[in-house]
Amino acid sequence: MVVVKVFGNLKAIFGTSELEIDVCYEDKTVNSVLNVLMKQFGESLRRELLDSTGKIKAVYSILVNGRNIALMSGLNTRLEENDTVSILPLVEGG
Amino acid sequence: MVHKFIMCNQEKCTGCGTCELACSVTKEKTFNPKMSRIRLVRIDPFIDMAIACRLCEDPPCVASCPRDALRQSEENGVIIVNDEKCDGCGWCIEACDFGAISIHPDKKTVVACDLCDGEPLCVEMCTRKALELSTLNTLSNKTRNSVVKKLFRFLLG
Amino acid sequence: MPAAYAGRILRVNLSTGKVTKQPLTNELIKKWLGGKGIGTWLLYNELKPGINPLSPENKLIFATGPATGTIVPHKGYILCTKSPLTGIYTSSSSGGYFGGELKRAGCDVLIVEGRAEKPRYLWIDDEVVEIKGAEHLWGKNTFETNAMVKEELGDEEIKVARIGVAGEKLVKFASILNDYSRMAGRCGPGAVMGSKNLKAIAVRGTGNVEVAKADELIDFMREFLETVKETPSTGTSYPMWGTPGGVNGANLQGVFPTRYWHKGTLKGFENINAETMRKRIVVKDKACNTCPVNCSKVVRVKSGPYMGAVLEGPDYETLYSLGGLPENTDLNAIVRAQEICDTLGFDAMTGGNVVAFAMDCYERGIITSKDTDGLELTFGNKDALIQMLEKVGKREGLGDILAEGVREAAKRIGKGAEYLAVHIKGLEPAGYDGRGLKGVALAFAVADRGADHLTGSIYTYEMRGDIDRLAYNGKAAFLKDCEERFAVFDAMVFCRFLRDVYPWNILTKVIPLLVGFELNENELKALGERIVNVARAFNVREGISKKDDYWPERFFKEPLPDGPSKGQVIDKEEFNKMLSEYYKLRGWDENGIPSKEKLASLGLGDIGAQLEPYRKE
Repeated sequence: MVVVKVFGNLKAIFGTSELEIDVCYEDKTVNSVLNVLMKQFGESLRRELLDSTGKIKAVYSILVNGRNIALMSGLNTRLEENDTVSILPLVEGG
Repeated sequence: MVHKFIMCNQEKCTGCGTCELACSVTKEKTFNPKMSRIRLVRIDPFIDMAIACRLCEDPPCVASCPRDALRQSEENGVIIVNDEKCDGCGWCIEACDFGAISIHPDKKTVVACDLCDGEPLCVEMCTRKALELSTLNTLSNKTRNSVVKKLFRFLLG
Repeated sequence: MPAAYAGRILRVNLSTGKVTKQPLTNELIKKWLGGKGIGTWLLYNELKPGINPLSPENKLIFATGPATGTIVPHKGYILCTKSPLTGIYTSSSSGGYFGGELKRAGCDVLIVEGRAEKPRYLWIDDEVVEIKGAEHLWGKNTFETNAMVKEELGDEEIKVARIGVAGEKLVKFASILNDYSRMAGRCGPGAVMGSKNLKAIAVRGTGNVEVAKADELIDFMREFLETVKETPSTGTSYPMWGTPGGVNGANLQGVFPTRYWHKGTLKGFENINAETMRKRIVVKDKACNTCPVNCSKVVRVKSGPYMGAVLEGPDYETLYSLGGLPENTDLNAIVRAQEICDTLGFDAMTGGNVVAFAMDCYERGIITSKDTDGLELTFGNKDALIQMLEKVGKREGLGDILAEGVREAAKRIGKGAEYLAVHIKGLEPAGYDGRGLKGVALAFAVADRGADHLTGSIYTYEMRGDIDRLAYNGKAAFLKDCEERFAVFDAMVFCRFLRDVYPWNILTKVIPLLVGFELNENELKALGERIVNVARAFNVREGISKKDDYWPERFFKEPLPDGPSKGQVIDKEEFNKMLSEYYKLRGWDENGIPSKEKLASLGLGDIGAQLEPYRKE
């Protein structure tokens, strides 16, 4: 089980800000979690999260346990049991 | 004759002031909001809105001018100022309900939005697309559309 | 005279009442461009080292830049002065429309000197400058002052920069507000203005602002606005969420300063994030000069005990200082708290810091309810937060001590408070914990005005994951480039939030369209480097050196206790390596003093000689 937390416009699509996802042991990556979510939430999630070429929109960041996947293995970042995957709009502050 | 004029959606306007500078650079080749024919009103903190000549059907400015220096164009409804006749008395300014006509600081005759060449820069550069060059009936149509969509949004998914 | 400048420095001496108009020379423009460039250069040359910032010898320099008053999106002006909070250099940027009005009144730079005997306000009406009586305004808050001045001068379009009660009472971090609640916020310029008995500066400017190539500038703008739309930060994040968009990411990465810097994640942060703001309190978006980003949000509290509170904000920084630090997850209470800071006219970032610091002291028994006039100053007590902020702004009770800033307050309170106090060079930090952001650790340590996030703005890249926030390597070089590019921003008076759409090659493109002369990338980098060095030189003359370029010991010793950055500290050895590398790249000696060679290479040979007494062997 991994915990998925979502923010921004994704909360409305998910109907919640947090849910648990089960991914099969062999392919426990961020990518497989996203596939499960796409299957579950369909077109509205696809439209919000992916650009026209099917890549994650630049405005979204994905963190695993607070670490940006861009600094790890991107979508192929492996997940452990009870990891937290957060998907959130690009974070600036100031 | 239904005239197109520049209207500002107050709900979208952020008070950025681009419209004023777009106008002044187009008409006066300089940046100065006080030389602009579209004027922004900021009532802090809640209200920002730009006002330009609304090309009234029966313009009070034209009716009020004691020297007949103003007339309304048959073609597109803009107010045309005869600079020879205008003596800057400002009676038209008092007549206008919107403050949309004003005295040019240097010429000392009045100016109002004349829609430029039909593609006004203020509308093009408005940062939030709050400005539109449109007719009243189009506005009315849009408002109807938008309220019906809102009332029945659950049907739209 | 290059285009985009009014060509004039206006100097007002409040002691003598004398108003002088001086030419803004070609030389100054070519070497310093404007804004922070000209302001810092003038400040360095016109202030002797060691003066008391609240004495008549200090000066307030309001510096516009070449972009001010044009159609290119920009902030308003940069304020340069010697800070009464830190005792060193400060520059503060303010958005809104005051800067543009100044330039249209024929003034690129306004310098206020001396001290008036009685409360005064300055009235700049195009060419005519008057010093008017302000006794009837003294004691009025910032909003009242704005309204009263505009009414008595009979023009709603007049722009007024003013102080509130906090500035009058010399709260060390009092601010100067303009327009609704834009401000030169940090480091106490409002106290400097108050010490001069100057309540307000009103401006009406009806003049024109010319640029070198207006048609090409409009073409540039068309393309630029497209780029802004397509870039995630400027096209989506900032317009939609504003800076509060950072609350989620900071908490999810464990770097959101919480419980007075003891933790990195606030439990319940979702209650004070951007989405909650939009849902519950945001009423409209607001923009500065021609800016397509409109990051600012205006809010109104619609129910509950703080109903009716109105604010242009909160921003990320105040959500951290009034939410994270005091462990307050009530968004409405944050709005009310910041409203008090804005009304009385003082920096809500320092305000949140000093009150949360007092909470820390209270919880440890270092101060008691006797000291707080019965207020139960515990973490999470939002009403105590609000009441104490009011006392700070009015210098009442414990507020009088906290109004000195955390460094001085800790000294006066004693009993171990000094170990708790968080500041660098006397300035309380912005909302990023250096233990979880190693670039921030360096940036805050070396920034010119103290623990400041804007000088280097490296926090953006670490928060977004463009660079690894937990790595020390490469940060010094990255920071150097950031500091120089953003110094140029401050010379133009461009806003930080356009950082993604103004890389070096776009800066070189737009500048000639405004001013009519070119500066290539190397020349711009040199300008940035010059500005950083003069600010550093100012500080060196005030006694700053390597010993001051450090976070408090807590950050090297106490790891973040939980959350995604659990266990992180600033590793002292790694930090020292980063710092040394930074000095080397900057051409500063091992003690952080700019070398003669570096200063000479930047055309600042005189400064090189002036700093000689401060160099060790």
